[in-house]
Amino acid sequence: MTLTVIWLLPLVGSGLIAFIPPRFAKWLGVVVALAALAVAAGVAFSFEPGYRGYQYSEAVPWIPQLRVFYRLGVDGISLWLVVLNAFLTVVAILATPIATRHLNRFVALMLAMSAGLAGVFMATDLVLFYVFWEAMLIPAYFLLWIFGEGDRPARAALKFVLYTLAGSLLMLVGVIGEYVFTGKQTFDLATLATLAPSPSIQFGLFSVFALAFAIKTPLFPFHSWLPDAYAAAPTPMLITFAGVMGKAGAYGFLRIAVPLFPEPVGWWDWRWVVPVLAVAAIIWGALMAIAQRDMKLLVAYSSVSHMGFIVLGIFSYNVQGQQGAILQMVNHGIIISALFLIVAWISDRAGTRDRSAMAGLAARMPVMAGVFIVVTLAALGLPGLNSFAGEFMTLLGAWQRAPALALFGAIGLVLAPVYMLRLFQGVMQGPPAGPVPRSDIYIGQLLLLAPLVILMFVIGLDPNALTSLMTSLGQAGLAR
Amino acid sequence: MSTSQLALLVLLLPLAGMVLLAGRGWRMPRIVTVIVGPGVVWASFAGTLALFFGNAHGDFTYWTWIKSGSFEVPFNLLVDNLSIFMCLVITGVGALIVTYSVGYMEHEDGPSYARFFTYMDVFIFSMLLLVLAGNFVFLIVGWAMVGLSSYLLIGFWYQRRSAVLAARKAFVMNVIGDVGMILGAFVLFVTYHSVTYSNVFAQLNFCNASLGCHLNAHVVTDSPTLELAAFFLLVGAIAKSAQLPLHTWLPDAMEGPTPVSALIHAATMVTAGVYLIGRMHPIYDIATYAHGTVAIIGAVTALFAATIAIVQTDIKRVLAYSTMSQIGYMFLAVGVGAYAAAFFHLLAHAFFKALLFMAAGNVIHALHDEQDMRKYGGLFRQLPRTSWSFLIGSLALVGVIPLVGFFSKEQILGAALSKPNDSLALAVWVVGAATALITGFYTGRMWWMAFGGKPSPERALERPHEARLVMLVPVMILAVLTVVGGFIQTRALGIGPSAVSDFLASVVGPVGWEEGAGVVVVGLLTMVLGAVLFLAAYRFYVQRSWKTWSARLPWAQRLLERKYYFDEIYNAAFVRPMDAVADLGMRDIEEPVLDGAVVGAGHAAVAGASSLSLTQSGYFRNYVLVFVGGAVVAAVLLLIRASS
Repeated sequence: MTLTVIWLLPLVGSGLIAFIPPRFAKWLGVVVALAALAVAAGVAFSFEPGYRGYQYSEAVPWIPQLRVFYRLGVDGISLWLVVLNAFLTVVAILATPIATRHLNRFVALMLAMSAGLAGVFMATDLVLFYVFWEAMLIPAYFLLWIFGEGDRPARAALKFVLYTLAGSLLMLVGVIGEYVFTGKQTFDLATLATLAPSPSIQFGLFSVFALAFAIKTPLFPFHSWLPDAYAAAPTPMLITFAGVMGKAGAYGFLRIAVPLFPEPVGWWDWRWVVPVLAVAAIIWGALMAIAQRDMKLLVAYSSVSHMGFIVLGIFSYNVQGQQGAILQMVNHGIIISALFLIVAWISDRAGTRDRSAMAGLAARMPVMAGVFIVVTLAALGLPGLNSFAGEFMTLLGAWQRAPALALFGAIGLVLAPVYMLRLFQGVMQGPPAGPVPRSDIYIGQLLLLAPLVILMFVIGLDPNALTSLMTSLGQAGLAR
Repeated sequence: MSTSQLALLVLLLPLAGMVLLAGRGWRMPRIVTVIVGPGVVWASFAGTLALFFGNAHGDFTYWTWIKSGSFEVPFNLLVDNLSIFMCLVITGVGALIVTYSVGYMEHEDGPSYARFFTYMDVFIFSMLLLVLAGNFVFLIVGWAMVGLSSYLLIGFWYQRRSAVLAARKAFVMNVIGDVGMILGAFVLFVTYHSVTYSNVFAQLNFCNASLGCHLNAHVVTDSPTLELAAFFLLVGAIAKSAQLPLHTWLPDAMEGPTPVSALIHAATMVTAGVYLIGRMHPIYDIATYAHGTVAIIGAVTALFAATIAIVQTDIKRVLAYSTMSQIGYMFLAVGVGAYAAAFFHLLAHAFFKALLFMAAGNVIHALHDEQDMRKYGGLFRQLPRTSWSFLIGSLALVGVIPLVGFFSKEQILGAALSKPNDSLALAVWVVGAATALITGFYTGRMWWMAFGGKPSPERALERPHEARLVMLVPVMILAVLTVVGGFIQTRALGIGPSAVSDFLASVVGPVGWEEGAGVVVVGLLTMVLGAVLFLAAYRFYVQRSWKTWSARLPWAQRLLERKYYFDEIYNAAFVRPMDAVADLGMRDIEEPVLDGAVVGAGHAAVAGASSLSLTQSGYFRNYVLVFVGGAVVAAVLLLIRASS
């Protein structure tokens, strides 16, 4: 029941909050999100490392004729993502301005999206996974459509949803195919991981699953929904949208594509195509970030580059790369949230998102500059902060698979300081120019960022706190 | 207190200072900054002295940083004579320079003043971590953290555009080095299944009491693998030590305040590459190609930088190029296997180059931030103490007996010249000796231009004032060390003690060959020639006859003034193409092609949705094959459309 609470609680809270007056919405939302976080944290504290298989498992027949079960469980792969989702939901709702119109609906949709994400990370039945996968899309669509920024948020919302649907409907075909071709007529992920159809069938099934995951992640060249959607998304939404939902794609690769299809070889070998695309994403995302003047888009493209490291780690097919990928999913969730928040606060004060329109803001906002440099350094993977451990491990994994992958992936490490420092230095340093900011960072904003920044240091110093619970990743396919 | 606690304390004291200053210091009275900033470095120096006199050694593990399958990284500190030696240099010279900064930075306002000492303490912490780390991962952490502190301090005056650009350039070039180190660590991990020094070195047949390891029965000395690792690590070393071809950031780094140049860009951080190769000598001793490359890079850089120093007019830039050149000597020494000689020169250079930078800082401070030597002249009588100190430093740089620079440099050249059966060592000796002569000339030029002759008509002040005591005392202490320091190791003359080499022998081994009397005579001869050129520079620069020379060879003058066009070439070859590709990619690929494909994907999704709705009926088994086939076709079509 514990795991059911983690996704049902926000969903029930969402239903309630949609109908209460807006002025109570934020704080009730925070309470609900905190409660979900408390349960998730409890699961993490009592999680047994070294245990093979799922913990806190729940299984109830759902559609018995088709052997569809309501199955939940957490293991080393999903545990930290469940915690990350619960944690960032709290941050996101706290970051929501009280002045937002229809605040109650906004908070309700955020909680609903968080519930869907939690379900994706905990489902251990393929059909249930699919249901949650599609379910989280609905609140995301409405959030973008109703609360989006910019000229045409509705268009960005539609583009995002159609692109994602294109992938996920094909995934449904894959789900059915899995049921048929493995011959056991089950949707249980643990069982499916022990059964593999012939390579050519695996090739086909992998293709449809991988497409869905590649779009969601997003992986090069399926990322073009991202700039529009991220540009349109309101900042609090971005915290869960960019911080967690992107990880659902990478999680799908790790949970389903890799263990269920160990040999997806047909016209070509997917085990090599995907990591090559990941390296392309690392470099392409970084180059696009370099070309951007819009701060929000710059951060969005940096995300494409960073997700490339995660996918590269997953497709290293070794324990360092895959643990590094999970670690990096958590790290990236923390860093990208902080970056989007800071960029939004700076644009609010400067009145524009164009980084070339301002300079030397540090003189007027020294504290903001201090926090910004820490987050910048975390984002560019400074050793000692959290991202370094994850990137090091994913690249180490890639090196052991094929040195060339790590070698080209490492170009991303060199390009990251180029775009991150151009952003930080361009905005904060140099002779002051452009708009004069009204104020430095507010205390409330600083307090909101504090847990994120503290985590950057804590995980940087002791990544083992996270990886030690990933020792036995439950699924047979992981350390293949 | 046990050795492990003491080592941790030495490391963490500067960090504590940084936390204090960053957290509250800038709101506290200035005196807090003045006490805490240098105080923690002095305390750390005291702790290092305790380690030194306590004859401490050992490999101490504090916690497990990460464990992932066979990849296990502890946080461990290696205390041995090499790390203690480095810690002494870092905290000793560091404490003097940080104390000097109390005076040099006096014109900064409160928050900015505290910020400076915060960064300095971060630097000392990072540098200590670099030399104390007992495994490759924390070596990389320290390595990158010194890069960060260097970045922060170069860009200290962040409202100057040139400082901001110089800081970014230094950071990016150092990240290239970090990536080299990371890849080197990968190679070693894959080969030796460990990233701790003790495990890796044990498998390379190298152990000592501090490492506390046992020789492994099966020694892996696969030399192609080791060559690869050694070359990757070398990328890190040359980026950090500003050797060719990753050197262009160092001259620009002079945008930072002068104490920063003295501490980071002369005495300590830039010598990290030498430490690295000395520390990794079990690898380089086997990887002979990489080892030879070290010597060649060192020799070429020494000569290259010395020639550029001849035409620079900014006093700090002359010193920056001379630093590159002197580190080139250290690379040359580790490259021919004379590790102990390299570390002696590292120590000597820390003394006399920190001295030169701080004395130059006194001049710059006295002349209201003027760095152009053409606007100096005639300072000798007006700033006597600073001038004498600068003269001592200059003569040590030239290598005049009996200053410390003579003994250290001649030992390097002597080791190269007398290395038996090694034509490479002989070749680098020729380059090194030629560089020694050029060094005499450019140092003389600097001295005479700045201090000799009459005051330049363009000088801002008629009567500059000598610096405050807090800025003079550290300079004079270093001047004394420069004078007497050579007597701890006089092997360059073939006689007397060799304290540094003996101390380090347990880690880097003794220099395996003896210098003959002939080599000593040759060494004395180069010294005399260098000194003559130092004096000859008087004719060229005080009497201004250099103008006719540069008029006669305009292309040479321009080539040197443009620093062999490295910046221009790198801009044309890397920076501009990167920006062009990024802009072109955004305009011609990202928006029209990749985004254009979304429309197709949208249509495919709609089509897919309507056909798949049939599956909801429940009678789907017969259709599955068709659907899977269709899905694959759709996926392939999408792929093709998206990537076209």
